[in-house]
Amino acid sequence: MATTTPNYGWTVPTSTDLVKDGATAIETLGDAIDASMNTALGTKKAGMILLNTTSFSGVASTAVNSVFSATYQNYKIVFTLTSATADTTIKAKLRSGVTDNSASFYNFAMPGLTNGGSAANESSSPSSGGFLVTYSDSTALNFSSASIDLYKPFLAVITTGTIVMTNSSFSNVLRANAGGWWHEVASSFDGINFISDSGNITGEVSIYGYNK
Amino acid sequence: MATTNKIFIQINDERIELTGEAKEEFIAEREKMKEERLLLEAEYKAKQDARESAIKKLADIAGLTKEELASIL
Repeated sequence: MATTTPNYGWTVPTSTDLVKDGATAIETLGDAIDASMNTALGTKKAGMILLNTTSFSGVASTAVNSVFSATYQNYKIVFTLTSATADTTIKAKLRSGVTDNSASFYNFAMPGLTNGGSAANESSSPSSGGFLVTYSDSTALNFSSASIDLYKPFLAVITTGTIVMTNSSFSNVLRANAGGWWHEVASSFDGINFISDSGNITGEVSIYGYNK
Repeated sequence: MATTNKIFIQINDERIELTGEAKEEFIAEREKMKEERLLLEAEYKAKQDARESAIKKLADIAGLTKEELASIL
């Protein structure tokens, strides 16, 4: 006698069912899975696709090349550190091929607070240094992380971003900032480079494409 | 300025040691980024100091207590 799966209640045959009914059972199960997936995703495709996860260890910079393309318009980037060898600031530069864009086109505005309640705002009018990603001190208990949405980097239009980050800031102070990025010249980029301005960093970065 | 420390960068899953001109260029770019960051921090601190000073002057004129002043700083 057929039974059902524990989570979605899909009908599946049991070991005592007749083999001759197998094809029908497979069809029933397939249809049930198809219906559940379409309900869960709201579409025939997933909403977000993991494109790249890069782990890095003891490096001054970590680049993800050939990750932005015409397939997706907007991207989610999750950047986390586990250690740094010096007090450092991590910046991100957009790149095309193996070349960073280092022109003075990077702007950001990121209001913030320390865990002590003091203002810790960050901003930059056009500079060549890249977008601010996070800070890190050199302690073992490193918790610097950033969640970034990057808009239209591959299209030959202005690239913008929004970011929320926590900083394991110098002297073990928590700083949290949230704000926006703006690359003020319309260009197409297919990669991004995270650069530590001092010492070496260890951590992981994942990049996802948003389906539409 | 030549340096002897090894510099490693990563591109996707490949870890690469920079040498020669590429290494010096990377170090120079990094120094530029760091200087830019320190300049921004100094600029921000100066603005913050000026703001606090102005608020204190206003507090003196308004006759605010230390507690009242702290609540708006």
